[in-house]
Parts: sequence; structure tokens; C-alpha cells
Amino acid sequence: MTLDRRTLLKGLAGGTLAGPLVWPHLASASPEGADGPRRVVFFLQNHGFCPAHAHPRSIDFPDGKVDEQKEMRKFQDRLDRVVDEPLADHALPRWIDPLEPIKDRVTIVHGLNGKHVAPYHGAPFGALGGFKKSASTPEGETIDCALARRLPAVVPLLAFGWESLPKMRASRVAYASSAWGASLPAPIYCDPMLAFDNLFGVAKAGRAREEFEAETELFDFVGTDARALDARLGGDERRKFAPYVEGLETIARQRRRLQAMTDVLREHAPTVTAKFTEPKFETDWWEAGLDVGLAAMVAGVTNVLTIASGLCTAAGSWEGLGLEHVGHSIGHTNQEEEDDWLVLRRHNMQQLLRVVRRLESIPEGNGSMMDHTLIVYTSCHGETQHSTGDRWPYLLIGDFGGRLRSGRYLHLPLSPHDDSRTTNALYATLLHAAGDERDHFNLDGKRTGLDANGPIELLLA
Amino acid sequence: MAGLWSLSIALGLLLASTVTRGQETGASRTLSQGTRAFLGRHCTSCHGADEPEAGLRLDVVAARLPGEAASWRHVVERITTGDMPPLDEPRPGRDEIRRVVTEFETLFRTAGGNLYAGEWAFPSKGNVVPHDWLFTPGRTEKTGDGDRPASTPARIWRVNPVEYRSTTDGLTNGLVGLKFGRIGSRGKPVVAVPFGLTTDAGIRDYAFRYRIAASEIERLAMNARLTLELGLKRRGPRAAARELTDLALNQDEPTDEQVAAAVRFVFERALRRGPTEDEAARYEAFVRKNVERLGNEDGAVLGLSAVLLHPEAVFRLELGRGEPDEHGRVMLAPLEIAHAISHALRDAAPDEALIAAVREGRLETRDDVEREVRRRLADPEAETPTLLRFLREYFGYASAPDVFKDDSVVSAAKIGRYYPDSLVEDTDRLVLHVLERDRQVLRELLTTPESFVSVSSVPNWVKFAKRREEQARAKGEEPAKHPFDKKNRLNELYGLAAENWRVEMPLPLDSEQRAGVLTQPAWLIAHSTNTDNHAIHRGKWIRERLLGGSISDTPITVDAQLPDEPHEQLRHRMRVTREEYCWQCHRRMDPLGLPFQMFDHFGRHRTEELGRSVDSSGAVFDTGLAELDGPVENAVELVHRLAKSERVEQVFVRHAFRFWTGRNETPADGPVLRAAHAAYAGNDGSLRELVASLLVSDAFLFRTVVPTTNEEPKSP
Repeated sequence: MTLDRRTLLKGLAGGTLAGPLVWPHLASASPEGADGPRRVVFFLQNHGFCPAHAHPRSIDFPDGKVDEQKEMRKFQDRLDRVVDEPLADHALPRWIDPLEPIKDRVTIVHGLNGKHVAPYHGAPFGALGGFKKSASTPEGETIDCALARRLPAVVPLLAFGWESLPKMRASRVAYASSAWGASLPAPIYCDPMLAFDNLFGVAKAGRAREEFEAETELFDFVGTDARALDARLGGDERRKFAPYVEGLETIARQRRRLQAMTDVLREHAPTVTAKFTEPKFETDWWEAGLDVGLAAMVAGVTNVLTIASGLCTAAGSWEGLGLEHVGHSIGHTNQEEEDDWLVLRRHNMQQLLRVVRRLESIPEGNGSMMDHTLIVYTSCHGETQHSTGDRWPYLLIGDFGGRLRSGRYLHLPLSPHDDSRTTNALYATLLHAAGDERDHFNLDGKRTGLDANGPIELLLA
Repeated sequence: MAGLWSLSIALGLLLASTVTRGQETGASRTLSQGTRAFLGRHCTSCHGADEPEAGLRLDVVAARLPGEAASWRHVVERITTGDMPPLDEPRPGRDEIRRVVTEFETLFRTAGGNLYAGEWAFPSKGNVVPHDWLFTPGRTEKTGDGDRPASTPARIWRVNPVEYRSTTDGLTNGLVGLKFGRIGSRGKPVVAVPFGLTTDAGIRDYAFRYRIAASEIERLAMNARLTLELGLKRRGPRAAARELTDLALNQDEPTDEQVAAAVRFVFERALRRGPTEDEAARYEAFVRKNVERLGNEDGAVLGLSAVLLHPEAVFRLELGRGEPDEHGRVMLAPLEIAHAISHALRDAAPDEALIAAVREGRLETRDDVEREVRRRLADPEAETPTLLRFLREYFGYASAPDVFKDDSVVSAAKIGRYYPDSLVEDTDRLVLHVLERDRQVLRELLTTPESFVSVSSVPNWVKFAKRREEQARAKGEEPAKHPFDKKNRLNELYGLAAENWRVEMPLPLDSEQRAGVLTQPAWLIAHSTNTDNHAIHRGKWIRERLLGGSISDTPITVDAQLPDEPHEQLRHRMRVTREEYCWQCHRRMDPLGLPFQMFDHFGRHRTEELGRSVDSSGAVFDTGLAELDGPVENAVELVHRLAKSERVEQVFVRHAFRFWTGRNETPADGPVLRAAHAAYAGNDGSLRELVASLLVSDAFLFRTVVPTTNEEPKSP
């Protein structure tokens, strides 16, 4: 995916499309089933998502005590057909059983091939892009950004990164999971207070508002110099410079749209508590970030939220969860046997449940916000810290306004097989569900021929 | 028209989707009779109508450009690099190939495009222009792009992270610590650089490659404010400049002079020029408005941060000025030259001496440039970090710490603690040592049996010498003569007996076992995996960086894995690459990489692998040069042979060209490359002379406005 001025205007600024003021948060939102509001939450946990963690043992597993990871691998290796079963008939495995009460909203997807992403030790940008990972320079557009273009809002993509407190303090904004296109990484907030100030600061009165307005004018001011240089450029250089010119305009426009939403922002702004200002553990800031993200979603500031837990690196910190392993070492443990993994995965699930419950509590159309939302959970590492990505598991929560099947266990046969699909195909499916019926997602150029075109039909409602 | 195939229809699965959607509709341009005959003679027996290989049909009479640009580049690349036709088919002559390429250069240009853009703009495609076109006088000038004198497209070039630091450091007297990369480490707030250079192997900083968009701008705005805020907080001799404090820390309403002085100061520090009259008026008004709104300090910080967001603070301009010559070229403007020279030599914004040269009209001509460049290169006090950066990127040894080695693998190897950063530092020091002498730089770097060994331990070793002696004396023992023990066994990676270590380096290693950078542990590890050598990558490196060959990208549908047979030697596991389909490319890599089997994947010399005798034989072939082709016994013999070659020297020059011009060479750059090589060879292999030649070349100094290609550079 590439960005030019037109694309930027169309995608980032929202153009003439309905803005956040006229839809998701208002009671007059479109009725269910029509082309109404939709939202997506991506949650990436680093160090891998062991397939056994998302495989109900009642599906083709031997009785008695078994090594679940090994059995799962055997099961997957010999699978030569599609398994498509209702989840209602099976108990969720212990790692994800916090989702048991909302199992009817959950679909487990197994068997997707992401080897071309090379997720060993983490796949910055690649996990959500379906292209080879890169620590600093994304090869193309990631799925959260693609959906953000499809589901425009004042802040098209809002992303948070979770790490240790010192790292989050040092890098209040980081780049890890998401990109608008080749070499165009999208920022993720590590400091929830900074996110709060940028998104809800305008709702404050007096000096804070004055500062917000002055900062907005800064981007306008620099825009004059950028346009002057733009006029001197010719050929391809103008295209190379366009993101700078448009970026300044986009930021200023975004801030003005937030200013215009002052009342709504004031209504939905999260309460700034000690967990924002005096965090004891990293988990305080994680929760605070999620507070800001959910409030932004409820207020209609954004329709796409990404959480990158571990910032797609093979490090991390879980002091607040009391884990025995710190940083890299957790990835060297057995995900089935290690209790730390049970704690970490269940914490992830509890956060997802929190998102679901919050969105369920907000009426929208004939139902709730959650009825129009999709949560995508996976790992930026594939299956393990050292995975090849050949059996990349996903959890989907929500039917996305009736466009996706839910409450299913779907296992595609591993590649190579006529029915095997790539992680890119899952992302193409999400785009189809969002109304962007493109042939494929990033399966061009050197990835041509890796997979058939089109969505995974079995996931579409 | 029946039978008139355009490529987008004919290419089928393999190539059709490499064409960017929406671009399929370029004009159909008929291929000449000669090119169609060429395709008919060499291609269509496999890529014809009847079950075409890889779904690719070349029985075409037209190309649709620019829509099919990527597809045709792919076809032309396979021809120029010799990948196609297959080995057992008759080979086309060089002149025949040149005519086909020339036709495509013209077709692309007629279509408003550029054959040498798109995928071919990436460093990995640097060698697609055949070597002899560039280094055989008269050959490139005959036709096509070789007709025109060298110049570089007029362009902007995003500053690299180190240059960005020099901008902010210049403003705060170096008081603001910059944290690199995307994630900060422990500590106080950092002015994080929101962009980096690619981590791809090879030359990293190409001008076409990097942009700045909204997401980076937000972070740059944060940095601008943080820089000014932190700078203002400083006290004492290294405090922020009076021009800033008089405005920001003043309790009274600032005077017009104070505002003007602050604006000028930030302009001069950040952009290395004063504001124009119009800019001065605008920026002063903006600062004053914010001071009135937010108070002196906050208003000054916000208002002045606009200068740090000015496009020239983050993009170097290379647009040129004046009337174009008969080839449409203009020379860089003096301030642009100052930035370009400074970037080329120092990775920093221009220093005061260069800015003075601009101001005084002493940076206008090629002679002026040569004088300034030579002055800097000859000055022993002047830092030229780019020489080291170039050699790091060229050799690729600095990525050794990025190669993951599992704790259990390290432990099983019995090498004590694993210090890959220290190994990189050793090789850095070796490179700097060779650069210091600046004689036969490449040959030395490829063959020297000398090495720095655990140079990182020297400072403490020297510092605590006295204490060590006292402690030993108290115990009645001899003081230790080296820093190695059970835990620190770095010397073993170099094959150096601990007792032969001394702080005066370099140290001689066994010349039967070691020869230059390619036998340094850092390089060997950088081209290894978690558990083994990477003979394929090593061979690819030699084929591309020393021989100037080109290896096609691994088809993504190929499962490029060696069999998981931990008890088999690597050479045996690599048997799968000798299958017919794989061997087309692997034949040009594997025999060059396998001689390094004389080392393990930590760089230790060995005679056995998995308890059996190790075979380190290999071969050089398919170079077209009799003095190079032939079998080799091991890596030492291999690199000594290559180091004598003029071809290898010229390929080194091609990489230097890419580094210092920020782009790949085209046939028009032939004279520049030949002059650079002559400067290198004629001055006893001096890298400084090579660089001086490049920095006064047309490619470095002249710019041409080129039409928009309507084609986004896309990673090959």
C-alpha cells in the first residue's frame, strides 16, 4: 500500500464521510444489519500464542493426562480437512476460560500460515501486515490501519503499547505494531497520560485548552513552510514529501475536530486516577491506557484500537502480575506447564472481557456497541517466542455487526493443503466484513501466489 | 487485435499481480523487431503459449508501461544477471543484451518512467547493471542512458537519526541525550528519534527510501518542545544560550530584539542559516503571539519549536540552483553543498567552517568542493565517522548481536560468556586501524592476519593494573597477564593463546587460519544462525559484494529450510539446494560460502565438525575471469585470491558510490565509477581518495529534475 496526497485525504482525514459527531456514539446510529457503525480492537501479546491454549480438549484429544502442546501439534500435523464446530459443545481450555461466559461471541481460528512473516522473536509490523517483519521499517500497510481507513474517525487508529514502567516513561510514544504503508509506521502511546492529554485535553477549561489551541496552530504555522517547499519540488520528490505536508494538515484538522467534540469528550473522558499519575506497577498504566482507549471508542473518537502488549519485542515486564519470569525468559518456558503463562494469558482474556462488558453496556441501535464490534486477539510472535508461524492461532470476539460467524471453532489444515490459508487471508476477510472487498491483503509482489485470493468464506456470516 | 499480447494479459499468475492495481492501463508500447526476436530466440521456448514455465509468457509484441513496469524489470533483470536463459541453453551475447536493455530504458522514459527506479532503486538491486557496462570505457556511452553525463535526480533526503541528533544538540550545546530506536531504555525522558534506517543488509541510507508522515511529526513536535525545555533548564557553563534565556526566562515582556535574536539563534543552530526576511517576520510574530498567550517560557518554547519542525530541519535539500546546462543539470547550491559534504563525511549538520565558506562565497565551484573535502579528509583531528559506517554496512559484521544465539547453544559451545558487541568492537577497531594507514584498504581488510582481540577489556585492564599486581603479590602469585579465564574466553574465538594477548594491538593471528574481516568472529556470527553457519548467506555476500553478481530473491513459495538433521554436517544438509530448481541460484552462492566451514558458528577455527573431519573446499566460478575461477581449499585461500582482483576492487567502488550518493548506479554513472576506481587504485588503495573523487563527481554535485514516474518504489 502506498500513500499519496489523495489517499491520505481520503483515508486519514475522513473527507466527506460521516465523522464521529454523527455516528457511533449517538442513539440514532444505523439499525443492526445496515451499513452502520463498526469498530475493531486488536490485541497482540508477545512471546507467542500456543495453539493448545485455544484448543478445547474435547475436540479430537486423547483422554487422560497428555502433553497438550505435543498432542496439539500432532493433531494439527495430521489434520487434512477443515474442522468447523460450534464452540457451545466444548469447554474452553483453562488459559482462555475467562471467555466462557461470552463463548457465543467467540470464534477460534487455527491453522493459518504466517511463515512469510518470519515471527521468530517477534514480528514488528509483520504480525498485522502479513509481510516480513522489520524492527524499524514496515514493508506496507497493516490490517489495523487498513480497517482504520475503512472505518474513519477523528483519530483513525488509536494504539497503546505495554511494557515496563521505565521503558514506557522513556518512550512515551513508540512504533511497533502498525503502519499506514511502507516506511510509514503509526505511533503507539505508551504513556496513557499523554494519550489522555492529546485526546481529552481539549475538554479541559482555561489554560489547558489555551495550550491545546496554541499547539494546533503550531502545525498550521509549519504547514506554510512545508507548502512553500512542496511548490519547489518536482517529479517523485513531491510524492515523497506529500506525507509531510499532509501530515501537518491532518494533525491540525484532527485537533480541530476534537475541539468541536468538546461536550462529548467531557462526557466520556476517563477519570484520571492515581493509576495514571502515580503508577506502582506497569499494569496500572496498561489499565489506564485501556481506559483511555475505551473512552475514545465510546466517545466516537476512534473506531480502531490496537494494544501491543510487549511492543512486539522478545522482552516485556509483568511485575504487576507477579510473574516469576521477567523479560525474555518467559518465552523460553513451556507454555503448557508454566504457571506464569496461565496468569498472563488469563490476564489478557480478562482485559478482553473488560472491553466486551464495557461496550455491551453502551446501547447502540437495537443492541449495544459490542454488537458492532470485533476483537482480534493473537500474538505478534506467532505460536511461541521461537515460532515459524506455520500455525498461527487467533481469537475473534464479536460478529462485527452480523458480518462474521461467531461461537465457532475453525481449524484449517496446515499449509500445504488445498484448504490452507494465510494470516493475510484472515485480514482480507476482516476487510470484506468491513465492506472493503479487495482481492487480497498484501499478497502482491514477492508474496504473490502464497495463497488464493478472496476471504475465508467460512468466517463470513 | 488477435494475437497482440500485452504483458499484463500474458504473464499470468506469476507477474500479473506485481503490477500495482489501478496501473494496468498504461499505454501499450510495441517492442522492436529486434527485442521480439531476442525473446523468441532465448525465452519463448519455455515461456510461450504452450504451458509456459511459471505461468510467464513472453511471446508478446508490446509492453504496457508504466503499468507493467515491475514485471518487465523482473524479466530484464533475469536477462542482465544471467539467470536466464538456463545454463544449458545458448547464451545471448553482451551486445545483444545491451540492445534489449537500451530499448527498455527508452520505453520507460517515453512512458514517463525510469527503468532504474521502482524495485531497481533498492540496494539489493544495485548490481543489475552489468559490471562491464560501467567499467569498460566507451561501452556505456554508446547508447541509451549512457549517452548522458552523470547527475542525480533533484531530491530531498530525510536526515538520518544521527544527523537529527546533531540538529538538537546544536541547539542545546549537546546537553540533551538522545535515545535511538523505537523504544527507550530505563531512565529519564528521552528525545527519541521517531524514525530509523532500515535494518536490511547492505547500504541503508538511500535518499528515495524515507519519508516523514503525521505519526512522526507528532513525535518530532514533542521532541522540539522537550529539547527547548530541557535546554532551558540547564545552568552553569553549558547552559542554554543567552539568546534563548533572555527571551524565555525573562520576567518582563520581551523586546522585539530579544524575540528576533531568539528566532535567528534557533534558525542558525537548527537549519544552519538565518531566516529570510519573510521568515523572520513570520516566526517573530508567531513567537510573540505565543508568549502573549502562554507566558514567556511556555510561549517561547512552543513558538520556537516551529523552527525545529521546519522541513529543512528534517530534510536535506538537494535541488540545485541556476540555469540548467545543455543536459538539463544544475549544480547544488552552496548551502546544499555544505549539508551534502557534512552528511557525507560527518553524519552531521555543517560545522561553522563550512557555513563560513558558504557565507563568504567559497563553496561555489567544484574546486571549492574539492578543497573543503580534502581539507577534512586530511585533517587528523577531523572526525569522519562515515568511513567506518560505510565499511560496517558494506561488510555487515555489525549485525552480529542481532543474530540470536540461544543460551543453551552458547552453553553447549563452551565459549564462556558470549559478548557479540565486544566482537563487533574488535572488528571496528581493525577497520579503523586499516583506515588510519589508508593504504590498500580493501585488500588489507580482506587479508590481514592481524586482529584486535577483546579490545573492550583494555581500559579496565590498564586501569586496575596496579591493584592486580598488589593483590597477586599479597597472595604470592604472579600477576595475570591477560583478562581471560573460564568465563571470558573471547581469545579462543580468534584462536589466540591467552598468553600472547597484550594491550598493544593489533595482534598477529595464525595466517593459515585468519585473513581479514571475513574471518573475524563478528562477520562469521553476523552470517550465521542460532545453531550453525549460514554458508548460503556467506556465499551470497561474496557473490554480491565482492564479485558484483546478483542473486534473485528467494521465491516466497519455496520452503527455504534445510532438513532438520542435527547430527549431519551442514554440507550434507545443504544437499537440498542442489536440486535442479534450487541450484540455478545456489550454484552461485554455496561454493563460495562452504569454504568458511573451517570455522564454527561462533567464529572458532576447527578441523572437525560433529566429530568428523570438516570439508572446507569450495570454488569460484561463473565470474568470466580466468584469474578468479577455480577450486579453493578453504576460506583463507578464497579471500586471498579475491583480494588480488581488480574486479573485486571495482565492486567495492560501486558500493562506495551507493553509500555516498544515496542511490544505485545507472549506466550513465560509468565515468564517475571509473574515475573513482582510478583515484583509489592510483593512490595505493586509499579510501579517502576514493571518497574525494566521488564527492567532486557530477553524480554528487549535479541535479536534474526528472518527471514523475507515477510509480511508487516498492520493495523487491
